[in-house]
Amino acid sequence: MKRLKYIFQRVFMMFITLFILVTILFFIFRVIPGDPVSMFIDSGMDAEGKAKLMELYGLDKPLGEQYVIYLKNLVKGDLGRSFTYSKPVVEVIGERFVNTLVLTLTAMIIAYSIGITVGSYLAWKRNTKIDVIGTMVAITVRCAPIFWTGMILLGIFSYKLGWLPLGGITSPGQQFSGYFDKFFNLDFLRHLILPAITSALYSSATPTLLMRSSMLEVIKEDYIELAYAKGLSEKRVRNKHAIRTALLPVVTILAIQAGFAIGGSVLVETVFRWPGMGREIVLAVGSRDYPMAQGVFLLIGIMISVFNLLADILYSYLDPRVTLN
Amino acid sequence: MKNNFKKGLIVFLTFALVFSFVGCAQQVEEENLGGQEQNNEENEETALNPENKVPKIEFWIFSQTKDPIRYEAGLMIAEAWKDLGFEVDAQVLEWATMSAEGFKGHRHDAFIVQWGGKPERVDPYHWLYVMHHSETAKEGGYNIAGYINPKYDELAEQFAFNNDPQARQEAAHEMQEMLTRDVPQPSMFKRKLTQSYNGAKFENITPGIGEGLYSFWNFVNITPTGEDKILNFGAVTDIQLLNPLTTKKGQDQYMLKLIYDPLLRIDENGEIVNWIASSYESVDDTTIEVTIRDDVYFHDGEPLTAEDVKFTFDFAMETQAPYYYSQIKALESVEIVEENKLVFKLSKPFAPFISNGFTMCGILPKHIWEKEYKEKGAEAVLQWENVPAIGSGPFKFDYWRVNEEFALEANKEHFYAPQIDGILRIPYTNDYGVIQGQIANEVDMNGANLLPMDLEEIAKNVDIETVEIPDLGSYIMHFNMRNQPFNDVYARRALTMAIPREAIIEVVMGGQGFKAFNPVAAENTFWYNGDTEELDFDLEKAREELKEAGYLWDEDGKLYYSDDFEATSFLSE
Repeated sequence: MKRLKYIFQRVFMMFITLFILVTILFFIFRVIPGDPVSMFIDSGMDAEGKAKLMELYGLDKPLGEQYVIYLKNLVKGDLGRSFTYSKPVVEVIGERFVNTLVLTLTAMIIAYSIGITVGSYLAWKRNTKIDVIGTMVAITVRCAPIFWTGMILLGIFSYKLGWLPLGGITSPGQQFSGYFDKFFNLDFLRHLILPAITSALYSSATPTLLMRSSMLEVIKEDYIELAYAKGLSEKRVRNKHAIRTALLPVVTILAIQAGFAIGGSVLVETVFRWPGMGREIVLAVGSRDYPMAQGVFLLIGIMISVFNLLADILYSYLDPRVTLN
Repeated sequence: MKNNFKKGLIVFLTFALVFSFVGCAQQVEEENLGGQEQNNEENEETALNPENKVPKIEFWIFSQTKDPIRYEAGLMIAEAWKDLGFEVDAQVLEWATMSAEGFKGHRHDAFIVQWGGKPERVDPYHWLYVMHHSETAKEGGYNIAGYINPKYDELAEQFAFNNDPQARQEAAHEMQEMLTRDVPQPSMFKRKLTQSYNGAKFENITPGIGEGLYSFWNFVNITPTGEDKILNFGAVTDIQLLNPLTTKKGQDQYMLKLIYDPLLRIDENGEIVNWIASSYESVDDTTIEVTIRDDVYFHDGEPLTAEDVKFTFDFAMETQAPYYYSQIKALESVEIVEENKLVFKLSKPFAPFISNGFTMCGILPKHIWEKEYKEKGAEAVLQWENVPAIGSGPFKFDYWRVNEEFALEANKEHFYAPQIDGILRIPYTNDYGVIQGQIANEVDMNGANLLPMDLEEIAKNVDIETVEIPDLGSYIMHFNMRNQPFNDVYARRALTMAIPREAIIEVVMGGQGFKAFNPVAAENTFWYNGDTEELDFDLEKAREELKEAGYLWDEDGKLYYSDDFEATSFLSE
C-alpha cells in the first residue's frame, strides 16, 4: 500500500515536470531569433508567399493563442505538423524512433555486457597491473569525444580497410517488405556494427567503473568471508554471491543511462549518417521546425522521466533495505 | 563540519583571487585608454569631435563549417575595411538568425549572401526589379539594402510591365549602370562551378545554364554506358517536401521539375522552349494564347487536358499557393476556348509572366488535387505531403525512405523520355561524405560545387570527371542604407573598393572563381551591360573619394565625419 502511494506520488510529480518542460520548450524556440521561412532565399517565393507560409504554420497568431492551441492538441496526442516535412510530427518521430531504438538497445546491451564482466573482473584483480590498466582504459574511452572515436573507427574499418560500409542504415537501392525484412539481414548488421560499437564503447565506461567500485564494497562484506569459509570456490563466490549484490547500483544506472541514450545519440548518428532521432534534432533546430524540435525534446524528456521513475521503483523492489518514507 | 568550512573557504578565496585579477586587468585597460584620449587631444590641433566618429560596422559572417568561403572572405574584407579607417566587428552568426534579422528584418549592417543562378533568373526581373525597387524595401522584401531611388523605380517599372524586348533591354542596361555606380548591395565574386560525375558509367552530360548537372536537361539526356542504368546521385540533406505549391528547398524543386511538366521550359542555354504548350502567342500586352499538346498523360494514366491547365492556375490564384502565386500574381483569368487552347488574361502587362510563370508552375492533375481541396480545404492542401507525387513528367515517383534514399523511375511513355531507367538520390550529412561515396562508386553524380581540396580527393577515383560552368549568381554584399555609415554613397563606394576580390578568389576559392560587379551575369548576353563602372580593389581611390566627400582621419587612422558633413544617398539621378 505504501509502495502504491509512492508510485502515484512519483507519477504525479512526473506530469508536473513534463508540463513545465512543454511550456519552456514552447517559449524558448519562439523567443530565439530566426524563423522557419526567411532562411530559404532561393525558394522562388516572394515576401507575400513567405508570409502566406508563416500563416499556414500558424505563426502569425499571437504567442499566447499559439500556446493554448498547442496544449489543446497535445492532450489529444497531436504534436502538430512538421514545417519541414509537412507530416504529423508523431509520424516523423515514429519512423526515426525505431532506428534510434535499435541502435541504442544494441549499444546498451554490448556496453553493459562489457561493463559488468570487465568491472567485476577488475575489482576481483584489484590493485594489480590489470586493474590499473583496465581502469585507465575505461577512463580514456569515456573522455575521448564520441564523435572522435566514431571517426577513427570509420577511418580504419571503412575507408582504409573497406570492411564495413561508410555509414547509413542500408546499402543504396535495397527494397524491403517490412520491418522484419529490413532489420534481420546481413547488410543491416554490417551497417549497425560501427555505430553500435562506438556508442557502446563510450557508454561502457560508466558501468565498468561503477561495477568495479560496487564489487569492491561487496567483497569486504561479512557474508563473502562466510562463503569462503563454507569452502566455495573463488569463481562461485564471485559469480553467485558477489556479483548479484554488486549489480544493484548498476541496474539503476542502466535505467537512467537508457533514458538519456534514447535522447538520440546525436553525435553518433551524425557521424554515421544514421537516420535516427538525434539527427532530426539538429536539423529541426537549425531550420526552426518548432513542432519537430518541441516534439523530439518532449519525447526525450518523457523517456528520461519514465526511466528515472522505473529506476526508483525497481530499486525499491530489489533492495529490501530501502524504505519508502 | 570543520572540513566543509575549510573547503568553502578555499573555494571562496579562489574566486576572490580570480575576480581581482580580472578587475585589475580591466582597470589597467581603462587607464590606458583614458591616457590615449588625453594624448590625442593634446597632439591634435583641430580636435576631432568624438560625436562625429563614423559608427562601428557590425559585419555578420558565416561560420567556418557552414561556408568556409564566406567565413574567410568575410574576415579578409573586415581587415581591409579596418585598413581604410572603419571600425568593424566581424561576428559569426547562425544562418537562421542572420536570415531572420537581416534578410527579412533588415536590422543588419552588412552581411554576405550567395545567390543561386537559376535559369528562371536569366530574365533579370529578380536581380533588377525584385531586389532594388522601393516597394520591396519593406520587411520580408528582397530590397535588403533599402535602396530607394525614384528614377530607378521608373526604369524598373518600364522594364517589368512592358512586353517590348528592346525597351526592356534599354531599361535594364541603364539600371545596371545605376546599380554599379550607387552600389547599394554590390556583387563581389562568383564561383566557377565545378561538379563531378562518373564518366565511365555515364555519358552525354548536359550541364544546364546556372545549374550544371542539376539541370533538368542533364537528367533526361544523360546516357548509361553499361549495365547499370540507374543514376545514383548524392547530396547533403534529404528531400523534404514534394508539394510543388509550398516546398521551400531548391533540392526539392530539382526533383519536382522531373515529376511535373510546366507549359514551357528554359533550355540548357537559357532559351524558352515549348513543352506542354505546343505554341503560344502574345496577342496583345495583356493577352496570351496557348495551345497544348494532346499526347501527354499523368503517371496514373489519365490524360493531361486543358482542364488541368486551367485548374492549376485557378487553384494557385484562389489558394494563393506561395510558390506559384509569386510568379503569376498578374493573372486575371484563364479560359478554355477550344479543346486544346487556352487564353490567359493579365491585369496589367507583366513581362516575366511567360518567362517565370509558364516555366516554373508544373501542371497539376485536376482529378487528384480538386478532390483533396474539396475534402480538406485550402490550408490542408497547401500542406499536403503529396506522396506519391503524380505528375506527367519524364520521371515517376518510385519510393522514398526518409533520410535513407529517394527513388524516381523513368517514364518511358513521355514525349521526351529519359535515357536512364531511374534516379536514386542518397542524402549524406556533409560534402565530405558525398565525395567518399563517389570514390567508393556508391554515387555516380555530385551536384555540389567542388573546392580545390575536394578535387584532390576525387582524383583517387580515375573514373570521376568534372564539368565547369560559370555561376549565374554571385556573392553579394548587402549593406543597409537605413543605417550609418551606409546611408552615404561615398562610404558604400569606398567599402566596395576595399573588397580584395582578387586575393579572395586566389586564396579562399583556390582560383575557382571570377570577379563580379553586376548582379546580372556576363554570360547572360542579351541582358548584360558590360559598360558599367567597376569598383575593383583600390584603397587609394577609396581614400581619395572619402576625403573629397568630407571624411577625416584621426591619429589612429579612424574615420570621422567633418562638422558640416551631409550624406548623399545615391549618385544616379
